[in-house]
Amino acid sequence: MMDGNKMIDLVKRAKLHDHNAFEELMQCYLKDLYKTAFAILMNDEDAADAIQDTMLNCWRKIDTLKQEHYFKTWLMRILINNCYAIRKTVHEEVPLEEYMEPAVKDESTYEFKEMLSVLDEKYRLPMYLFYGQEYKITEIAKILKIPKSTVQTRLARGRKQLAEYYKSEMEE
Amino acid sequence: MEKWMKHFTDDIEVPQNVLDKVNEAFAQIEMESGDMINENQKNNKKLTSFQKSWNSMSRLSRVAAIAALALVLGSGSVFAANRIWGLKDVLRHLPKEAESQIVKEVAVEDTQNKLDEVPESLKVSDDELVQLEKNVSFAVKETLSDQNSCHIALEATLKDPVHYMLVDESDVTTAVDRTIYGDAKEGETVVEYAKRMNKKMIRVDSYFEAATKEQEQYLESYDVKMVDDAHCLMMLQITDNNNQIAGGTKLNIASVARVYDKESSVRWKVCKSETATVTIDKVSANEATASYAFADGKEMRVGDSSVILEKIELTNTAIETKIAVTVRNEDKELGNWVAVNLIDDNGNYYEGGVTNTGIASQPDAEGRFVDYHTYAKMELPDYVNVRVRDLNTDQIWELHNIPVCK
Repeated sequence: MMDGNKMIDLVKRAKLHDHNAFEELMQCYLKDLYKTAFAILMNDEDAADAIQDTMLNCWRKIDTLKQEHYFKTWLMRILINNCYAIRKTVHEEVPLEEYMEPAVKDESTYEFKEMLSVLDEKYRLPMYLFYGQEYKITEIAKILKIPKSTVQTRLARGRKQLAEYYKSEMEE
Repeated sequence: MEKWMKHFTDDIEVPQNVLDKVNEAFAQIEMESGDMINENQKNNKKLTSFQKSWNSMSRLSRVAAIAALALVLGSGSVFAANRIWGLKDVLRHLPKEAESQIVKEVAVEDTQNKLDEVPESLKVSDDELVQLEKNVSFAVKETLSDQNSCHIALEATLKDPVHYMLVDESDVTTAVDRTIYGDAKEGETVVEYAKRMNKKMIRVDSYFEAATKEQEQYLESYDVKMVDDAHCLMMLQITDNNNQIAGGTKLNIASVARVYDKESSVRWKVCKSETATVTIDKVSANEATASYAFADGKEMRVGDSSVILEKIELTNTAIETKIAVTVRNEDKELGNWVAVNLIDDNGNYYEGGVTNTGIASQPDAEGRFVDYHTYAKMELPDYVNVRVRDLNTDQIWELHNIPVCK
């Protein structure tokens, strides 16, 4: 996790077109970006495109960001918009095996993807932002532009869906 | 339950193709910066040794280094700066009985693919595919042009609901929605329901195909709503951030039906695919629109903020109620970082509609943009109350009793 002051310092430098500072920021947030993009797109190829577009968009628009401490929220919102834009224009059928079988040997990656595959699309992103990114409900409402009550409802339904899934797995 | 949530925070490996794209982006950024070595910035850097060496490497070296590291580390994470509490840590620290449960979870990969349990009788033969093409029909139910977006609703209908059933894009191994599949039992999955009813599953989908260079820039969002197991509504919202989508615009909309096929690499084999050219109506036959403004022409400035609501429109489509608010923000810095929602007289939000998120167009030179939200269908009210949130500061303003324009 990056220290808040360091993040602000890097954002300020990036706004002065210091590409090294910008790259350092992106490297720091890369995993968050990847997990968020995957939570929406559920495939690595599209997630890679969304992340690339987001980095270029942010670099080109960073001087329009006046409040440095909102950088991460701003970055996430741009990423989410890009993911939604890509989601249907690419529109490839994702094989179920890609959800269900570990594409990598890394157990944590598999667990993460498995968890997401259990959830319906509309619950995945709020669930990941809440539990994975530890955003507050108000912040998720801000990022997704939906009311707080809707976020709460989706979290509750997402939790229920996970509970049902794990319950059935335990019984097997 | 909460322990499973840890998977959301597990440290994971970013795949190589993502790292490659990131490096491409960095190369582009470096080129755009036009400042390969900025001495002033360089002197101020406080980088870790890894970051120092990383940043000093050429793009090619970075790619090579990533590949080499990936080989050496195997499942290790290339960018792992801080190891977060991961699954292995959980296994090391939990008591034996809990551990056995987790091991079981890790081992679920063998039983995960529940679709393998689909009986042969539910699989569709090649001969049947020909029949199925006639069994599913797609119809455009409505088209609606609204500023710079348009809304298209298509209906998929199944002609033989006795032997087949429609399913949406959701995972078919999750619990069935009993409001859709009326005969389903509590807790039954879609596959289990199909098996019990001896109905073969057909998954439908629809998407927009750009026909021109301009249309390639359109943004598309999609949602699907099952009516019952023989009817499904597919809703597309297509937005052009730069221009209005005028009535009369022609868009190519593809509709696809797929059947479950265990042998196919994608598991769902296309049994019907068709593309329709849809002409966007300025006003849909099924829609009703109401505009809201203060009768005396009073400016709809939101409190003491820089936000002015120029136009409020509620549109009832066949499926939902959509609010489109044209907002002008005098504070260009704030841009479109506001969200406008409908609230009731007690200040409660209306329940969200089928769309996942609010969508806002990019502000024009005067800071004007359109903020869209969808709600569960309601009767168009005589007046509306709106709540405007500054998404940066969470400051909230409300405007009450804005009457419908006669």
